[in-house]
Order: sequence, then structure tokens, then C-alpha cells
Amino acid sequence: MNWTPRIVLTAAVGISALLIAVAIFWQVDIRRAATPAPAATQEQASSPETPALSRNPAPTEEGNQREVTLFFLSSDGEDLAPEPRKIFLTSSVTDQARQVIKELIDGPQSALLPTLPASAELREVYLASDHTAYVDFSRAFVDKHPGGSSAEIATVFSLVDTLAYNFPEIRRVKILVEGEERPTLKEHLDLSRAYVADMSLVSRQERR
Amino acid sequence: MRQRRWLLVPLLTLLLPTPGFPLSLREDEVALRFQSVAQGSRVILEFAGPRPNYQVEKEANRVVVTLQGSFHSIPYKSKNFNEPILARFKLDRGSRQTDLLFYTGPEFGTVTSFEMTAPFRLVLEFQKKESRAAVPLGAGIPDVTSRQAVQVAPAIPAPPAEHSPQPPPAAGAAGLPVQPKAPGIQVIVVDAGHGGVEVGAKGSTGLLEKDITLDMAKRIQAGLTKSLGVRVILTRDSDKQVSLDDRTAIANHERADLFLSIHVNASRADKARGAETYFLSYQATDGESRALAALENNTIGVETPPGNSELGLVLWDLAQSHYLSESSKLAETIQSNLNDLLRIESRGVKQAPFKVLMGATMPAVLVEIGFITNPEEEVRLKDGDYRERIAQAIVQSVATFKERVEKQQGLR
Repeated sequence: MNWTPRIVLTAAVGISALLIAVAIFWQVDIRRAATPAPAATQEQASSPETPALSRNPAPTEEGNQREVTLFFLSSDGEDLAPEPRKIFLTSSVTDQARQVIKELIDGPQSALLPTLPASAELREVYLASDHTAYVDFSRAFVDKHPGGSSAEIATVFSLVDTLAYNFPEIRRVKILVEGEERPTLKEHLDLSRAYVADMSLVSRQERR
Repeated sequence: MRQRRWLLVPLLTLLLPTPGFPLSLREDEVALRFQSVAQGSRVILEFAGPRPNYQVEKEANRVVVTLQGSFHSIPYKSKNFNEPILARFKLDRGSRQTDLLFYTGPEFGTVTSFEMTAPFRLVLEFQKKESRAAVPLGAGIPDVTSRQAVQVAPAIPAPPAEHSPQPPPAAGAAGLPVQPKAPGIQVIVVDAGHGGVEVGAKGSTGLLEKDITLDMAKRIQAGLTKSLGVRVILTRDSDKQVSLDDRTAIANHERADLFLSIHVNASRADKARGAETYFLSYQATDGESRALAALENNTIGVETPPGNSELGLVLWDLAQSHYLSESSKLAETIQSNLNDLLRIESRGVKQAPFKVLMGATMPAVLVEIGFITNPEEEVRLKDGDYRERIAQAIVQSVATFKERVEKQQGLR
């Protein structure tokens, strides 16, 4: 076996990614939901050595995951439709919410359509004691948005319905962009208010 | 090891309450909470650490809270209220000193502050001026650049002037129009969506929503003027940016009888097609959430003053609420005519909290004439004859609505 530096490097990256993954499960963060965790998740996603960790966890990790339901746009654009996903069962709601929102940004894995701009970045999630989640996105959330009433409604309620459906702790969602409140997304929906879920926008299962 | 891990996570999850501001607040952070109270606005500044050194100063157009030390404010670094007492908040953070700047509005009178402990909170009460005599009533030309030219509908049983904005044009102290609108439908504002740098939605061949809406608005203006003899005002007649607040303010200032906002829709689904007509929805959004927040938010621990009206603020946000029934009828008329024209049954009248409809004190609808993201519809939208047919369908709908309203008013 030829131990070229490339193989050694690959092995080292693989091992460190594994170590980080293990560290996530050990980590119980008391303050503001595991700042290292999102970084580690990104690393896994971008590291070809450990694809199994991010999408198909080993059986031993099952206990540390939970299934969530994401709402994306149906292929005819008429309503929102569910798609299951697994996230890490980290200790704080805000960290789990962060994982869910990143999955929404990454988009659907089925025939459904995305609702959030793929280049949008999630900056922070806060959960206030009145059960309002403040979700802070980067500018791309607005700049890369196609506009239009239907697309704005799909974006906002895909996010709000997904968070409210999966986290009983979250009853309202307020969207911020670069830490600041915006009057609207693209001149349609009012973003100065916090939204509650509107499940009437989700298609009935019987219909599909 | 695995055994322990299995045990640890759920155990610690149980021990931790839901993280909210009090839990997740860092020592270098101040959490801001805003509440509406009877005579003004309340701001609660919550700290994680011990009582900070601070001072509160009232300046010409603002109230400055100076904190010793460097603090971040969460969740806002800045926030626009556009309210007559408290207009805007902005953070000015230095390395040794942090200023929280609260810009006040024209109706601001006094500020009082008090402290609460465990956790330490500084509460600021921004109160309105004692007397309303100082506020000019119905004076002059309104400032259409501000959203304040909006009036809470007279029929709403809101206490006069509690949370209402600075007096709108031709409005008395009790919120009643000084000169009532002429009966019937005489003045219509047609709003061409977007404009200037706000291009709106884009088609795959580069067609821009803002160009279609402007053309449509002009066609509708011509049609309404010709067939109904009404006065029609456009919120823009060229490719320029107009703020959403200004669009409504123009309609309110002109005391329009109808507000039609014309848009072109977009969807990630390129199959999506057809027209949709929207009127404002308000339920289950701000009103409910604010009311809920007020109920749940017992952290303040002080008795709310008598007459504390969350409702007042909700109503102020919802100048349109009085006109929803008429708006929905107008929306149905337009939608049914557009469905007949386009022979598309699937889409219909919808409700959404659209900013441009919120402050309108007349029946107001937003019409999405088609999907620019649907390749077939994009081609059709480029065709002037097609646009003219849609414009005529909207004109015909307004004629039907006008006739019905005027019959009800005994004018026909």
C-alpha cells in the first residue's frame, strides 16, 4: 500500500469529521443551542468522506435523531406538501429549528419544489419566551427571491408551517433579514408581523 | 458509554426549560421587547447580568438610553415602528458605551422609566402629549411620504386617538371625516405594482412585472374614465419607485372609493397559471399574535393601566378591516370575470396580509393578472390585445361593483 500524502490527508479529514460528529452527540449546550453544531453539519455536508453521516446515519445513531416534516411547494404550485426528513435530536429547540430551516433552504428531495432561495443563509434563530421564533436570514433570502404573491406566500408559510408543525414551542415566526425587520419580502407580504401557521395552505393527503 | 449518552440527552433536555430570551441571553446582550399600552408604547430592556450603569436622557427628537459597556441588542439592531409616539429604534454600540436610540414621533410627550429585578429589567414608558390641542386637526396637505395618512375606520369602536396615527387629512378629533366622502363611486386609485429598481417578478425571457403593471394601470385608467366617467388616479405613471405606504397614502389622500393594485404573479412552479384576486387578511396573524403575546407575557409584573388596549394597535394596523366585506365582494366580481375570460377555474379569490392593502380606508384589492413564470402566460402577457382584454374585464367588474354599491345607497 502506497501511503501517499493524499491518502493520509483524506484519512485525517475523515477521522476529524467523525470526531466532530461524535462531539455533536456528546454536546449538551446550555447557551444558545450549540454554536459548533451547525458548523459541523456543514462540514459533513461538504466532506465527501462522510456522506453517510449526514443523510444515512449508522444504526447506532438512530436514537439521536428525530423525524420532522418539511413543507415544500407542490409541483403544480397550488399548495404546500409534506416531505419527511431526519434531524439530529440536539438538546435545544433553536438548534433543531436551525437544522430544519437549513433543510428547507437545501430544498426538497422529491418532486416537490423549493420555497426558499438556495443561496439564502440562516444567520440565527432566537426563541422568545412568548413562543415567537425570530428567524434571521442573509440578504440573499430577499435578493434571490423571485417575487410575486404566490411565491412570497409559499416562502413564508413553508417556513412558518414547518416550524410550528414540528415544534410545539414555536407558535409564531418573525422573519428578519440581516438582523433587521423588513416591511415586506418583495413588496407583498407584511414582514413586520409575526406569523402563525396556516395549515389550510397544506394539501390534504387524500388528494395526492 | 453509549448507555450514558442515551440517558444524558433526554435527562438534560428535561432539565432545561425552553430557551427564550431570559435563558439564552448573554451578559453582553440586552433583549428588547415592545408593548403597546393605553397612552403610548412600552419598551422593556432585559439584561442577563446585574444592574448595568445606565442613564436615560430625553433629547429633541429622541430618547437615549446610555449603557456603560458594550451591548448587543436582540433580536433587533434597529426597528421601524412608524407610530406617532415611538417612530424608530436604533442601536449605537461602542466598545465602552452603548446608546439605545429611541426616535420619537410627533405625538410623543414624556418618557418615564422604572426598574424591575430578577432578571434585571429597565422599563421605559413612552407617553403621548397630554393635550391633543397642539395637534393640528385636518390641517394642510398631508405628507404622503409617511404612512400616517391612514385613518382608523370611524365605525370601529376604538377609543378616539388612543393608538390612531397623527390625524389624517380632513379628520376630526373623533376620527370622523370632516367632509364625508361623496356617495357612490367617483374616485378610483389604480396602483401599478412595483416600479423603478423594484422590478417585481421576471419572466424566463426577461419580461418584467413592473412594465406590464404600468401598461395595465394605464389601460384600466383609460377604460374606467371612458366607460364610467369616474376620476382615476394612478400611483405612478412612469417607471419609478413608489413606496407601499405612499401608494395607500395617495388613495387615502384622494379619498378614493376604490383601490386596485395590479400585479403579475410568480411561482417556483412554472405550471402555475391563471389570475388571482386578493383582499386583505388579518386573522391569525398580528392581531392574534399580539393578543396572545399580551396574555402570555406576564414577565412585566406590573398592572396594566386601565383601558390598556392591545386592540387599539391592532385596529390601527388594520385600517382596511372596516372595508373587508366590500373588498371581498369586489375581489369576487373581478375574479369571476377574469376566470370567464381566461377559462381557468382553478384559481380564485384569496386573502393575504399584503402591506399595500393594509392602510387603505376604502375597498381595496390586489389583482394578479397571470403568472409571468409560466412560459405560455408570459408570451400572452407580452401581447397588447391580451392585456387590453384583461383590462376590460377589470373595468367591467368595477362597473358591476359600482352599480351594486350605488343601488344599495339608493342612488340608482
